[in-house]
Amino acid sequence: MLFKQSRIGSLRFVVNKFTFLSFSTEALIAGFYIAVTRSITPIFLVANGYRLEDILSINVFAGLFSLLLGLLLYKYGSKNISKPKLLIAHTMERVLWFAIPFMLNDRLLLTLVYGLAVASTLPTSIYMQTTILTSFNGVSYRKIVGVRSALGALSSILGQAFVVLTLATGVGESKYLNLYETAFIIGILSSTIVALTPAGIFKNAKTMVRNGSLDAEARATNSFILLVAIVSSYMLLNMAWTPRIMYDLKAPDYVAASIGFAQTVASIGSSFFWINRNTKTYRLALILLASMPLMVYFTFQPELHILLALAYGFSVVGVNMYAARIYSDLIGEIGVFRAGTLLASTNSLALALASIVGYTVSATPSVVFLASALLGVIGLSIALTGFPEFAIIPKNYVQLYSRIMYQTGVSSYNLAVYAMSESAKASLRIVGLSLMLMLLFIIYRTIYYIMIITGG
Amino acid sequence: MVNPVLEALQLTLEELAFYLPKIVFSIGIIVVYVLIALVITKIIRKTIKFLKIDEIFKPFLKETISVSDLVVFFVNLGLALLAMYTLTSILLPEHLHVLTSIIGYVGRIVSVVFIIFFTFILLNSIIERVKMETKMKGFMLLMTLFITLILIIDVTAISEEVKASLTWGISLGLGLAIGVFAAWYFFHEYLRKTS
Repeated sequence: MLFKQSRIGSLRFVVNKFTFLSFSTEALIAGFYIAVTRSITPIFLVANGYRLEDILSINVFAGLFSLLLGLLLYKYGSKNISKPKLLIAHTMERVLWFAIPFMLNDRLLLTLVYGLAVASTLPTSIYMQTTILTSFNGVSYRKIVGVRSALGALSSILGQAFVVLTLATGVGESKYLNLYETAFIIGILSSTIVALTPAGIFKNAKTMVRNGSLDAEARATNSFILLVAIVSSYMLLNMAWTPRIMYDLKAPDYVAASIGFAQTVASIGSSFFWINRNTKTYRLALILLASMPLMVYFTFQPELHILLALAYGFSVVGVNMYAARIYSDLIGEIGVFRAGTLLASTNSLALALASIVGYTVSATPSVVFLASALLGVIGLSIALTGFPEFAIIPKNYVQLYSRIMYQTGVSSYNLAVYAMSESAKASLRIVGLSLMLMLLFIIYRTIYYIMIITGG
Repeated sequence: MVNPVLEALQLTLEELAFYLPKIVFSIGIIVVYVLIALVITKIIRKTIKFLKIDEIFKPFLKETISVSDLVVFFVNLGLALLAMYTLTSILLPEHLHVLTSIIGYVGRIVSVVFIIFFTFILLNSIIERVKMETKMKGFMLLMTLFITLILIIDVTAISEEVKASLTWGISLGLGLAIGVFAAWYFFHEYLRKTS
């Protein structure tokens, strides 16, 4: 009996090891594909006559579409995550990104496919997050997230280097096609890794959707709002950083190019630093990340920006790790599927928010900066007032603020959903009524003409 | 000598043979129209039910008329008219203008009936809402009757001259009656005092 139990235990250990290895390898390979496709597409669009406003408006569409998709998946989608489901979403995402260069002749189709490609990352992300959340818990979960982000960052450096080299050496449209082809092949390779993952780890997440206690719900919602504010601040800062040091500070282009590179390099090492920290240490990451827009704006020495970028990359990983920690702690309360969906939807909402703000103020880069700083400050204020581990105010106040924030968040969400669904229903009714009146018009107008022709 | 019965039968059969393809074709057309009407009715009813269009008009119409029934009725009426035109254009193309006149005439009768109903319903609701004297009620009814009489005369088959003089006479009578009634209504107390 004892022998049997120990055999089962060792078997589970082997399976876990294998799963760990498989998810890590997937991140390593997918990092390259993600870096190539995500960095090449805006350049490809600009090269084909798209302006910054066009790209931002496509991103708004893509972000909103992803959110809608997330909402639909959460409300109506089956919570039963299986290997074929993850595999289909995984492969579909790669196929859609690969389809972009072939839509070059039709601007509308290109916009649509790009939007769909961005949106397709959400189901993959939700299924992936939920699967990882179900397969690992506690420290092992943080470990896999840390290892995945480090390996992803490493391969994304390779991907970015590959993009730069290909763009510098290649000629005409074929260089873009070559990049997309390579990324597709590598991307499909990562899908193969998913296909090789043992099917036993895919558990039914249906029973893992729960309504937690008010405190857990408040914590999940507030974390979501906090992360959206911080991530959109990050996205906006990255939009405005390069123009700031190139046009305002007159820095050479290699300094501008080093900004992204420094962030990626910092994220490799810092992943391991953040894996096993106590919660209070993450406060450092949050403060760094939230105050970075202002620090970047008030640093006039271009070379110092590389240091800032290193610190920025370091703090971004810290915040990501903190998000992973919050949601892995909340699994027991709100269920795996909800935790996974919230974690994956953060990026979509942040993308939509950052793109809307960016689109509105794209004419003046300094305002983009200001918006990023504002979002950072909002995020920091939420963290310092609504989260006990970061709070600088007494605990009972934290609970009060946390509940107020949660109630406001929930009522705003309900209002937005109600307004959207009601306006959609009204539009549909008007369309239906118009179609019926059109049918009546066709019938009676024909009769009227017949009467005129036949001399009535 | 040919038997007249046989000859008549032969003539009838020849006519039938001449009309038979047209009859078969007409039946086909009727079937097609019925099918179209059934499909469209089904689609409209489903669409109205799915989009809950009736709910938009509920505050205005209460439970009196259902919009879906109204739409379906008019669509089917229109399709029936189209079917009639199609059949006539195949069977009796030279009589198309007659059909148009019949439809026009029926349309006029229907509109007169509709106006009469509408006027009486309106009158009834006014009498219900505003407290009126019995004399006033009687006068209003008389007015309505005269107006509807003019409308009925308009659709009758009497000669245009008679129609015109009758309408003219009734209109004059209506005008005079309204004038006398108004004078009595506004000045009856004064007139009573002076007398």
